[in-house]
Amino acid sequence: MSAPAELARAVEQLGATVPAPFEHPFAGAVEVRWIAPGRLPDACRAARDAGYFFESLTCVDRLAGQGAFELIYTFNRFESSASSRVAWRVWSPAGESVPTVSTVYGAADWNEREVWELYGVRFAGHPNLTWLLLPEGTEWRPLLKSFTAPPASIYDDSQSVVPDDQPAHS
Amino acid sequence: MDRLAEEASPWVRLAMVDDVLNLARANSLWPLTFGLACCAIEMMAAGASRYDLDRFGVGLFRPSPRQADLMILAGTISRKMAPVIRTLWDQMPGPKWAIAMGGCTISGGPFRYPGEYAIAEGAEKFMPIDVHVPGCPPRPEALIAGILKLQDKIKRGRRLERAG
Repeated sequence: MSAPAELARAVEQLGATVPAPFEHPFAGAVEVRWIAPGRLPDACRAARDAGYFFESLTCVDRLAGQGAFELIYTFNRFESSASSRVAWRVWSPAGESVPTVSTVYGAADWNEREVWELYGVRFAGHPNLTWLLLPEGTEWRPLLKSFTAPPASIYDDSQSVVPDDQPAHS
Repeated sequence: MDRLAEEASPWVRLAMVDDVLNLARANSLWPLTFGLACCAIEMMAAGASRYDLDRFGVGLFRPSPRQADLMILAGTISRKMAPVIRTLWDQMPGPKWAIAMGGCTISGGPFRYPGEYAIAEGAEKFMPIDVHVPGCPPRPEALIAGILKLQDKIKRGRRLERAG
């Protein structure tokens, strides 16, 4: 049995399920499993123990405006040259937080900050859930399907910071 | 005195001290070591041996804003970076000048579109700019042209009011 298949079998012990054919197939991974949010740290630990590194975390706003998100965690390993990427899909219902996996994979720390600031998904137990790419204090979530444009104030030239200085020198 | 200057002008140049100072300033610019995005690669190329900014007295990139009098804004400015750049600019002692290199620092460039949320739409939103060098990115020759234009401006002792 190949390594990805072994890992997939291991996480099925944690209640992972295979996505149905109609559930937006995720291409690019040889094994894809749905993971319940509560079992996510365990599933990530299983991947780590099987020699996988954390590749990426991405988020999809499937139900525009409903506040529910799909998170996709991908893992890969150096040992085999054949395709070996596995993906854990997690459904985060509206208003609920997802446990952080930064305690398992340190590399997930910034990925979770990015998903939080761009989508608003809360990661429970994250050590430092603050803005990474956007200015501190940004309140809107630009990657939501419902997002059209930032508030007008940040485009307001009258608020722009700087007056022309005096001539280069006198 | 005016008449004397007029009569002597073909042979004697009665320069104001400022003119001399400006000549010195223009030919000894100290840029800040400072790259923001891909334009910085062209800026580094301009500083290296092939294009050799040292020929124009601009080659000594300083690592501290306290020692620099020219800021070459080379690359995309994110909204998060804008206040940092403004701080660096404020830390530079005057007289000082700024060159906006590339479309992003001039107007936001390719990142300017409705709903754009992360990029500052031009450096002039938050600091004064002396010379704009368009391009995406501008070639080193274009940056050199911009620097020559800036030197021209400094020698004249005022901001350029028109091109040429």
